[in-house]
This record gives sequence, structure tokens and C-alpha cells, in this order.
Amino acid sequence: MAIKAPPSSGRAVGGDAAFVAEVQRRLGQAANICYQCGKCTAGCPMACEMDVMPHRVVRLVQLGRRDEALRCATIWLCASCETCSSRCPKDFDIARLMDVLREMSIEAGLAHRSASDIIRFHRSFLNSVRRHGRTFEPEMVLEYKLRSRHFLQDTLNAVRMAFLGKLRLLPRNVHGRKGVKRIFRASRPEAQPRTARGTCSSATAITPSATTQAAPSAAARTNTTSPSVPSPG
Amino acid sequence: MGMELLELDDWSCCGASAAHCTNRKLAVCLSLRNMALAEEQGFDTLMAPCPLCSGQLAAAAEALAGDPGLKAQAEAAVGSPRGQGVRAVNYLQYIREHCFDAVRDMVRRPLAGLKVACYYGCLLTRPPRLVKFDDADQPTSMEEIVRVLGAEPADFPHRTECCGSGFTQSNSKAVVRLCRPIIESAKAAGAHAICVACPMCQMNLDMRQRDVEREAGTKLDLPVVYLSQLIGLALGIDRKELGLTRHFVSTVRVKGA
Repeated sequence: MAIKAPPSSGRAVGGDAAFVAEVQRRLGQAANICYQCGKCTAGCPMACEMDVMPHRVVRLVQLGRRDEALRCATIWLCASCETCSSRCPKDFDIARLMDVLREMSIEAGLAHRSASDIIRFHRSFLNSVRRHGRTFEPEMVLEYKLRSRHFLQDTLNAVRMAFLGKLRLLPRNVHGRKGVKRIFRASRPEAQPRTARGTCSSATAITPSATTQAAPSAAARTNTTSPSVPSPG
Repeated sequence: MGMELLELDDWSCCGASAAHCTNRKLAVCLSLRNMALAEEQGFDTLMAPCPLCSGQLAAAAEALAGDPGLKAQAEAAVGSPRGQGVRAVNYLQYIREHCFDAVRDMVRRPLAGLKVACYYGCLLTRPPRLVKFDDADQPTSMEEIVRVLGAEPADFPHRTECCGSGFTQSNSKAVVRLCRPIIESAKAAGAHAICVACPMCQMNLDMRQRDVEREAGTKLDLPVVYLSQLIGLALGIDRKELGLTRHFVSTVRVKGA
């Protein structure tokens, strides 16, 4: 699994080499080990809703097409079911790549507009965990409704849940809440200077090791023969 | 069953999808806090009732082992250097590996005549690199347990398909689209109930079943129960105590002949 990432492997010609390097640093794998077989896309339960097929997202990364990779809706529609990573013949961790791209997409302020509800839900969830150490569902859902303005969604289900005794009306706070809050403070993403379009905003964070690694293997180079270039959008 | 289950004192949420999708360091640190607590409290194994929780614990342990820089940061954030020797397992795995014989010996009211669709969903067996249990695509452990309880496993093709997991609120249309073939194929296979070992699977298949029925235009009425509830029934534990009265889809027909 811990395959060293080649610096840019020469494929990001015209693309954003710093972006490729940063993705690989966060991922701990070389993007070029993917040979575009498409097995991830074939097994993806969310593919029919995606704007860019999963294997093409990998291709965008290989080519250093940062904005397209960070702006697509696909990364937000991924349900993290791990089917792709489990079946990949090259053990490329596509599910984890989606995590990396989502994280970078938020940092760069490029998240697709269709992802707004999903991001709002993630925020409401994490705010609840930060406050209580665990989720307090009624408060979390209320915050999500206020953020998303989906006021009427699932009101009937909420009533049914209350009748079934599934809703707690008071939070069960963790005693070590201070410790949880400290974790949240320490995990805040480093402030990323917004740089010119097309360059990786966190290029400064690349570790020295990323620039001193061996050239890509012959196997990795075979990727370059792949004719599959993702179509935009 | 020759074991004692203790709740980890002062456990906190692992951050679930919200953390691993948006902030990896946060996800690793929240998991490490629970693992450090476990070690401090003298545990060597953490069994989580949710496979995402156990998966996140295992993923954190893997990330920390492979990244000394992250390890130092995480230990500073959590305020403890401990926890990385703690093993995380999901409860299906634990029951299959440690309690199988005990369950077989303790069955008092076999669930004869009950046909059960064993639904694994995603994370009970995936990714195999982290779960290291059963087969990722063709698992059999739940069927083996259900058979020991006297019930008959139903053969249906959607056992390891995704139910939409954490999208239950933020993309519920996708959840309904994904749940529909799971419930329909279980029904077509003649199942009287779907058996799950993941709280998100349970919630999606149970709570969203009404929406699935609306879309399919038919009544499905297929109860979605936890494996632990089926084991409890076969052991003769009271239905109310097992929480079988708190489901969206009625579970009254889930019983032995």
C-alpha cells in the first residue's frame, strides 16, 4: 500500500504538477499506478449520478487538471462504500482519493454547488460532535435544516421516531469534552494562501520527500499510453 | 458466552463520514482518542456496533503506523501517546470469531421457519485491507450464524451493495434508489426479514422503506432487524428488551414457528 509517490512523473504536462504532488502526498500513493481499467466505475453504486466517472477522476489527477478534479460533483456523490478500493487490481485507494479531493476542494473553495447540502450536513454533524463529544441528533438535524432550509424534510419521520422511542431529547455529553474541543482546534486545516488559478494552493506544504523520490517504474509509465482522456464536465 | 461486554467509559464519536470526508487529521484524532481511552482502561479490543466506527479506528491505526509526522501531531492533539495497540472489530466479526460455538449451545427457541436475507452492506467486509475478515464480495459469516439460530438464509444478490449510508439526510433520493433493489430482491427471494449488523443500513432500509414502497408502487413490508436481535430471540430474550418494538416496519412476524 505504501507506494512512494513519484514527483510528477512527467504526465502533468500542461497540468498542475504541484497539485499532483500534493494529492499523492496526502494519499500516500502514486496516482500513476492506476492504468484506467475502469473497474472502479463498473462497480460504483453512485456512478449513474456522477458527472465524471470515478476512473476519469483518477485520470484528471494523473494529468494535473486540478480545477476539474476539485470542482466535479463526483467527489461529493461518492458514498465511501469502498467497493472501488476493494476491487482495484492495482490496490489504488480510490475511496481514499475521494476523501483527499473533497478535503482539498473545500480548502480551495471549489466544491460543486450540488454538494452544498452534503457539506452542510457534514458541518452540522461535526459541530454537534464538537459541542457534545457525540452527536445529539435533534440539534444536529435542526442545524442542518436551518443551514439547508429543507424545513419540511422528514418531519413525519421525526415524529415517528419520537413515538418509537428512537429520539433522545437531551444530549449525553462526554465528560472529556475539553479534550474533544482540543482535537477540533488542533485539526483545523492550515490557512491556505489563495494563489493564482491553476496552481496548487497548498504547494508549500509538500514534504521534501516528494521531490526526492525515484523515477516512476516502468509499469507506471505504461499509463501514458492510455487513450482515455476525460471529457470536461 | 464466556465473555464480558463493557462499554468504553467516556467514548466519543469517531466523526463518521463527516470527518473522514472533510478533514483526515480530525478523523484520525477522534478515533485515536477512543483507542487511547481503551488502552488506559485496560482493553485490548474495541468492538463497535457500527462498521464505520470500527473501520475508522482501524484506518486511524494504519495511518498512524505509516506516518510518524501525523502520529506526533495526533498524540499531541489527543494528549496521550497510547492506544495504537488496540484492535478494532465490528460485532459480526467478533461474534463469528469468538462466540459462534457459545451461541449455538445457548439457542433455546430456534427460529425455525424464518427465512432471513443477510445483508452486509459495505463496511462489514470492506475494505479487506482493514477489515481482514470474511470475503469482501461473497461473505458467508452472517449466514452461518443465522443457520445456527435455526433460521434459513435467503439467497439474494444484493448482499454487499451500498444502501447510501450517510446520505440518509443530505441525499435521500440516492438512498431510496439504492435501497429499492436491496429490499425488492430480498423480498423476491422469499425473505421474511432482512438481517443487518450496521446501524446506518438498519436506518436506511427501515426508515426509507416507506419511500421505496411509494416509488415501487407496491407494499414491501419487510422488517429490518439486527443480527443481535435475532440472536436474542433465539436465546429466548424478551422482544421488548431487544428493541423489536421500536422499528418503523413492524417486526411482529419475525419469530420462530
